[in-house]
Amino acid sequence: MSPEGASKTMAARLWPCLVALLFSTSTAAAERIASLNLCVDQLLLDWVDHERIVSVTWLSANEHYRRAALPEHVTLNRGHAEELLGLEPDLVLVGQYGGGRAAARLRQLGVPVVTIPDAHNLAQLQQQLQALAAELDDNAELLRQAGRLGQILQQPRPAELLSAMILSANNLTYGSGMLEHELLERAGFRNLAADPDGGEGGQLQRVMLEQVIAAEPELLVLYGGEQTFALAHLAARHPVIRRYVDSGRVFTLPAELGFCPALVAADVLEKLRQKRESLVEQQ
Amino acid sequence: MMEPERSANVACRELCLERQGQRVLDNLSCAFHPGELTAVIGPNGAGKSSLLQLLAGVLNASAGEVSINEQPLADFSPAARARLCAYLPQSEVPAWSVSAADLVALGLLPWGRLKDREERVRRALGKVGGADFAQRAVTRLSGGELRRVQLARLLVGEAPLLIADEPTAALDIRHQLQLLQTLRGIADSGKTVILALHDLSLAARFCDRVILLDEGRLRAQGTPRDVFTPAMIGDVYGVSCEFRWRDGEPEFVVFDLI
Amino acid sequence: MLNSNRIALGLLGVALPLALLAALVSGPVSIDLAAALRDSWRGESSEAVILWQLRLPRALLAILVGAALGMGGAAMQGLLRNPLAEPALLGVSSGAALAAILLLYYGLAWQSGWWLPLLAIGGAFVAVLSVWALAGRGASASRLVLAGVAINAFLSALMALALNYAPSMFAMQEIVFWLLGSLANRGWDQLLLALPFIIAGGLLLFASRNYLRALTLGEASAASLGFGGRRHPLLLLLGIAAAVGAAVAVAGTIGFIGLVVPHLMRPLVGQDPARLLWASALCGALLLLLADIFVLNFVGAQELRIGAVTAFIGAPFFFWLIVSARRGGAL
Repeated sequence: MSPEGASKTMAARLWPCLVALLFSTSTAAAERIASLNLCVDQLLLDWVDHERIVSVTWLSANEHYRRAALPEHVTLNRGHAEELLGLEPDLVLVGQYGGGRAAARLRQLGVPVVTIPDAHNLAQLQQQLQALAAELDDNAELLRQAGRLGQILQQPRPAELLSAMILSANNLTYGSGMLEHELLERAGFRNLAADPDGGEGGQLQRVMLEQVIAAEPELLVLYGGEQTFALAHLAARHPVIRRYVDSGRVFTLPAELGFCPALVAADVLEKLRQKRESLVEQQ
Repeated sequence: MMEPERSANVACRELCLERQGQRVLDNLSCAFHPGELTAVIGPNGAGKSSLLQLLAGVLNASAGEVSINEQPLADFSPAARARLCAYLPQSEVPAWSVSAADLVALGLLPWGRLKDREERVRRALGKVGGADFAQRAVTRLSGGELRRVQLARLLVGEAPLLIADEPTAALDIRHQLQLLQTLRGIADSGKTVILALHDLSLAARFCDRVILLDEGRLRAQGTPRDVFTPAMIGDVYGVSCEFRWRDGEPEFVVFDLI
Repeated sequence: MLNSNRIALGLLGVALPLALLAALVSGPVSIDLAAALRDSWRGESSEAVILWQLRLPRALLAILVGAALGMGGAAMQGLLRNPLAEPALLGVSSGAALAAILLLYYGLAWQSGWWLPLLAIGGAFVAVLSVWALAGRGASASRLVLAGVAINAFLSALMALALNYAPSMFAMQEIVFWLLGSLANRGWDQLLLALPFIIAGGLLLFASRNYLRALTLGEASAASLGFGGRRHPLLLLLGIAAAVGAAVAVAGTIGFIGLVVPHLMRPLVGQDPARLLWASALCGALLLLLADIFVLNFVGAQELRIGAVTAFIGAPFFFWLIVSARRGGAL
């Protein structure tokens, strides 16, 4: 065989691969998207044409997380590779934690798997949105949300800070380093649970009701979610909290902020700013 | 307030008791009188304890009736019945290690609050010779001492009817004798005393009357001298024996199984 | 009763208000107690709110729950003539726990926090009445214990099932926390809810004191003393169900108080099961309040559940009980 002929056959062999490569990058290749992550489920269901979704996790059918009726053709998975293989997805999105085993198996079998990072603060949230934008091919809704968030973040922070404290389920409060803390700060509040030195005030802490009362925050921030009576919400139902409720000094964070901040971060920030303005007016 | 009834004439008419389909007592009629010490005797399983429980009102008869002073026992309120009749079961192990005096004071429960409670307890313990260990915990009493304390519990309320189920069980011969002498004295003071006994010699020696039960039926009743014949005892217990009466004191000798 | 025992009981009585004071100054926030006390209980200052709305109801609830558990334990041991009995033996606690768990499990949208304690009290009554029905005529102690073990086993199986099928980690955590018991975040509303039941239960137990005394001699002797029939044990059981059920309903299952306290008090009251009732109530109140003070001062907001603390006090005491019984002391 002549060298020429050899190169021709090489090109003939390479050509389909090249086409496939071009196709996958240039156009909206992923037409059968599956998700192994609760938050990604919600984002897909919110932002992406439902025809393109083939599977979401079983948790998304749970009434605690479900935001709208699930499309009938979407299969619920429990994070097993075999469940997804039969659906022949052309894109599988997984979170940073959980579903790792299934993701590794799918990768071995040649299914395109992309990890979407979790978001525990604003910087990570922007990374998450970028990662998603890359995979979802500049989805319009996603870009709108990302743009809105970026726009709000660029607004100047109010000079006069009001004090605030978060009281979440099981007497948890959010200190510096947490997304909830950053949102409060950006909206013009001083989080009383945060320690400026970054010492004990970091991350999640337990707080007793009397510490909340003694700190006298100007805004008490509760975490929404379980509407039902629960021991975890006993603190938030205590009569001493009624003073805050009665005087309108309570803000309730949506439960989605806890498991998928990308959905609601921009909304929360906007509402927190409005809340601050109304509090300032009251004073 | 003490019980107005000073004496108790007890009568049972055609008493029957069934337990889990088995007839424990069958058509039993007998009577007990004030001033008399009556022994209920019979082999194991003859129904002695059941009869005593019916008399004390702890059990209810399947048929027939127990009456005290012509009044059916069922007509009495539990408290009134408790004021009439004091009962000591076959084995009464105190659950808590209360003092002897406290245990005796339990006998006063049917009478409610009494002002002279401590005095009564002291007197009752005195009657059984137990003044020395009034403050001792009942778990630290010997078997004989405990029995005496329990007897004092029966005496303290001054019920006219005393019923004790085998009070001499587990006592040595000296304490058996002592206990029956005490009971004899109590009967002599006008009370109706009913005992279940296994020791025929003691029954013959101390009791005015005996009631002999066999398989739930009344076999014989009367004075010990009438009832305790070798033929009757041999028939009921299945042993050959001999009774001799010497100066009114019985001598009872068992020879062998029949 | 010896004089030294009277003194010991008197000391307990004095210790309770002192412990109450200690509880009022315990907490992560240091407050000026005198100033807060001068401020009326409707005071708006944060110190007054902390004292009157947070610390006082919590301390009083500890006293109330401890008293109910101590009294319930003394009554249960008297009823069953068994020093190892505890109020939970006849299903009171598991009945209350199961009712609460079902409520938490189904997460029914009750708007008010009153449903959980009310249903838990109902559960305690249902459990006790089931034991009662199962034990049948006569209701002797041994049959009550057998029926209690059976009902408890069944309730535990149901609880295990509920845990197994818990719809979310959140529900599971709720159930576990409930079973551990806690006084955190409780307010006047919980106190007022439990109070009538505990008082009613206490009155029933107090009315049964002579029955308990008579039971010292056993069931037959008690019947001959005028305490025959099923009425007396039923009233006693209902008293235990009301007092302990209400305690469990507002504070979760707090173990060992009901078991340990009667043992501590028995020597002081000359083993008399009637005097033991109020002595155990006093001691139970003090013990639980001290346990709560310990939780507040040494564990803090991390909130080691008070049930775990009482178990830590109770279990070693039990070791000691066994060892001393081995040495020949009376159990």
